[in-house]
Amino acid sequence: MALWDLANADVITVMGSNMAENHPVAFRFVTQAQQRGATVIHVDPRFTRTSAMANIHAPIRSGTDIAFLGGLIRYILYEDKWFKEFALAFTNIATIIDDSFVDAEDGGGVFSGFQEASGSYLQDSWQYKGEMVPPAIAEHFVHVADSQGRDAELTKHPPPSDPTLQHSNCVYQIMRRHYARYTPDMVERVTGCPEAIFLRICEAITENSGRERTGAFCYAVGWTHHAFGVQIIRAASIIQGLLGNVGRPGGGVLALRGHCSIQGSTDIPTLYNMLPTYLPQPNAFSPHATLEEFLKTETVPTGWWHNLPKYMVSLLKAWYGEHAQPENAFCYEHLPKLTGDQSQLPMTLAMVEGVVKGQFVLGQNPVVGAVNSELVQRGLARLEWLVVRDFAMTETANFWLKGGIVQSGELSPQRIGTEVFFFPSAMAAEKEGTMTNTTRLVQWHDKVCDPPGDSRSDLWFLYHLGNRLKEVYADSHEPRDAAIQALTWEYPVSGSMAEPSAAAVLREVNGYTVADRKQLKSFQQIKDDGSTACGGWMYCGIFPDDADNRSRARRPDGPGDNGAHQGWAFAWPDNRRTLYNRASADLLGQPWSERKRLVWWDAEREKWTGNDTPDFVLTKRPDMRPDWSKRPHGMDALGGNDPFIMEADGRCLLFVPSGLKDGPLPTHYEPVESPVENQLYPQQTNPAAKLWPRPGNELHAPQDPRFPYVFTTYRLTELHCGGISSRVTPHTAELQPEAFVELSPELAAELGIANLDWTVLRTARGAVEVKALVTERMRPFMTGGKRVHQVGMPWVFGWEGYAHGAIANVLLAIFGDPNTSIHTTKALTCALSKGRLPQPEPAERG
Amino acid sequence: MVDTGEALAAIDRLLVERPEKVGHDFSEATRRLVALREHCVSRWRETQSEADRRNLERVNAAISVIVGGQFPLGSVPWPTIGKVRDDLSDLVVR
Repeated sequence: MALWDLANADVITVMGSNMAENHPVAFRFVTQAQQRGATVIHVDPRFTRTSAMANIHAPIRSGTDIAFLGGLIRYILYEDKWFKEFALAFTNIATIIDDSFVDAEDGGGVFSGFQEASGSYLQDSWQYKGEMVPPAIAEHFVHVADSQGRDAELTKHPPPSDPTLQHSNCVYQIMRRHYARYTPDMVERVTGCPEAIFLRICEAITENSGRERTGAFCYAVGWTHHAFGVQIIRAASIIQGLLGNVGRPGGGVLALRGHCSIQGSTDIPTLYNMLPTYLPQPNAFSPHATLEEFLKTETVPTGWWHNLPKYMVSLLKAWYGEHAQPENAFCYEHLPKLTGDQSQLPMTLAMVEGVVKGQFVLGQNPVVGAVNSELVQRGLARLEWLVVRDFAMTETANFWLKGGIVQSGELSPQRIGTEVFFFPSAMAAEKEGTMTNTTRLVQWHDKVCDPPGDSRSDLWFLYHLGNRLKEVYADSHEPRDAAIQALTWEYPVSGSMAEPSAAAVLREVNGYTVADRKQLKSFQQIKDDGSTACGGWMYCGIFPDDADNRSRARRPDGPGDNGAHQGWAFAWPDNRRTLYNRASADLLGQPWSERKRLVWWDAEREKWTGNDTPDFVLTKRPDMRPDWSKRPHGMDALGGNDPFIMEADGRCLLFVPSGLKDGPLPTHYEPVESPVENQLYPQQTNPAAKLWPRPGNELHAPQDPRFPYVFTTYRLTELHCGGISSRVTPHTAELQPEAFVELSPELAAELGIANLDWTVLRTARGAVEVKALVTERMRPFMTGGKRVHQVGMPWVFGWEGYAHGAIANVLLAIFGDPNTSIHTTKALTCALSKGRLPQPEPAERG
Repeated sequence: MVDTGEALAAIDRLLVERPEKVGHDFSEATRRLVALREHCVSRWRETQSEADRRNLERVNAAISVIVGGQFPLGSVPWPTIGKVRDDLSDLVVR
């Protein structure tokens, strides 16, 4: 959904986010909705400025979100509050799951298919009865024991279903059993949220959903930064699917991204496991040895992802140009193949072991922002070289001089061999380019002035680095260097600094015809025969003509327009503002209600139309059904009543048969580090979580008495992200001059701590000292029959700039969500005491 | 001449014990291979010989696979780790 579409919501639940403080621009649309009568709910362990603006604040213990949302799912099912016409038509609620499926309720908190030795799941038993369903995520390969040909069943008949919902293995019945014990009483016992507040929220959300009303969820890293973060988001998706809050005005699950273009760096990814616009990165241990095998494995037989070969071949043409030909599989062999998890967390551990010899750090400050900061520093200290680009000195660039491991005497500058290259970089206004915001809106920004001195844009740096690498390897005969030799790298430059054209890069991302270099107008023109090149199929249409950069468009809707603001910048794909918006119309193609109309079937013109670009095949009639006698593939296998076109069955997946690494339904697990035992299952924590305990990265056992308090971290309005940009600016630095820990008056009284006293926070990874902020914003929780205290600390401080303070991430451990490998910053455990850290003796240094 | 035996022995222990869940069990093999690589790098920089360059490439390839086993996407690739061990068995680094 578009950010401004929040204003159309009748209920907004902000959870896992302090939206008013950290996304103030987006929060104005929440305020607009509230002014129109919407109910605003904030579910959060702390009482923040978002809580103060909300109609209802529900306090919950960090990391218990799935218990809360699972309770809401139970309420919807057992109180019969779901939007039946919507869910029966558009979700897989009636689909029958394989007989071999065993729910976590019957497995002590573990689903069928779990491999104890590897800590991972095989997903055979989660499949639809009789057919295998590839996922819509970038990797379409299904982790089952034998996948040979099983997805072909999708082209023979619709998924097995029981519209009466009586079949014991239909999704509806499975969900009822799975969430039966997530009662309001259980929600209170697990989360600490009083039952009455929980029920008030259940009523507010369900009363504001249905034909006439819609609701939205907004979340940020308060949901993602857990060892089960993906499943928290899944729980919200189930709620929205049941309530009909998907594809409709004011409905959706809005991910509030943490940086201005994090969405863009996911689309055109800096991620290790994806190619641009969500194509899978080949894997050395999957059937990906050749392009033919790769396409055979990864092409989904039904739904939109059946088009994958077009996007893949056109990407290779964009990257390798005339070198990419059918006879050499379009240079597919040049693509690196994954051998394992090469995301940030494991690569940090690999750095510590000396595997990594050099690192580029652009737009990031991992000594402050990455978990287990001192282990990160030990890793940096083992590099041969480190390149840091930023517009002010960062803790990452001078860890060798001022870092914690140097201050403690563990290492000295003389003993750190890392050669650091610190490059000054241009700020946003000193370069041109695009930013992609949280709602897929790609907006161009012009350069205002030249950067000072030797500062250069990141684009300048990467372009000229690429040129130099091509020079270095120009005469090589090594096969591995052929990828660099073949890479297309021709971008026009201008000015005395030879700045490359960002517009030229965007034209390439948009795509063009190879023969005559004409810009593609739409992704429907992309071919799999090598006649088109496209750097990112979802962005196709953003630059449909050499002189038509749609990301520059700046025509907002006026009072008489439909409010989609389609003349303002470009939202991928195809300038669609609300994804799956065919779901805004009923089975006959008419809006569920006039109040919530968005797109609809125009019977006279035989096409979909409305207030947004339809996210559907324009001419597919709502009553069209696949002709199964013809073994339909791709979009031909989806009917006019299947809005979720990226899914193989066109349905909103309440139950996920494949793609998730930790179960088909969200299940409450305690955080990896927790002061209480799991009230719902014998299984304490996510059995598939990626845990890497080792010296320097020790984990706390559940209920470890040495670390009795829940510890969480967060940002501050006044200091941006890792803090450097605002810590070096006096007028923002003075607004938050030093680090602190927030604790409740109850805990302060227990520990004899007064406001502004020095305190020491300690975990198995490290210790920091900060001043105490004793505040009623923090409160103890009654959970698992005992009182649990929670403390919190901003993670935005370091030793650089005017506002100094301890690095909170010194306290955190490296472990990851099984789906994303993302770290946990929101729910760990710690010790807290009054006092200061001992200062190292001078003799210890050196 | 450098003894590659320590790296091979560490891989052999992995192949016997087959640890799956805890990547730290791979650390010894990783560290041994990294040490071997450091020597190969020094040697190649000194001699610039084709043989030394190929030795370095073989050790680099082995590190890729072992680190992939240490931090697997799905199952640990035991058959490939076995091949790595076989490939290194006749490695002679002076």
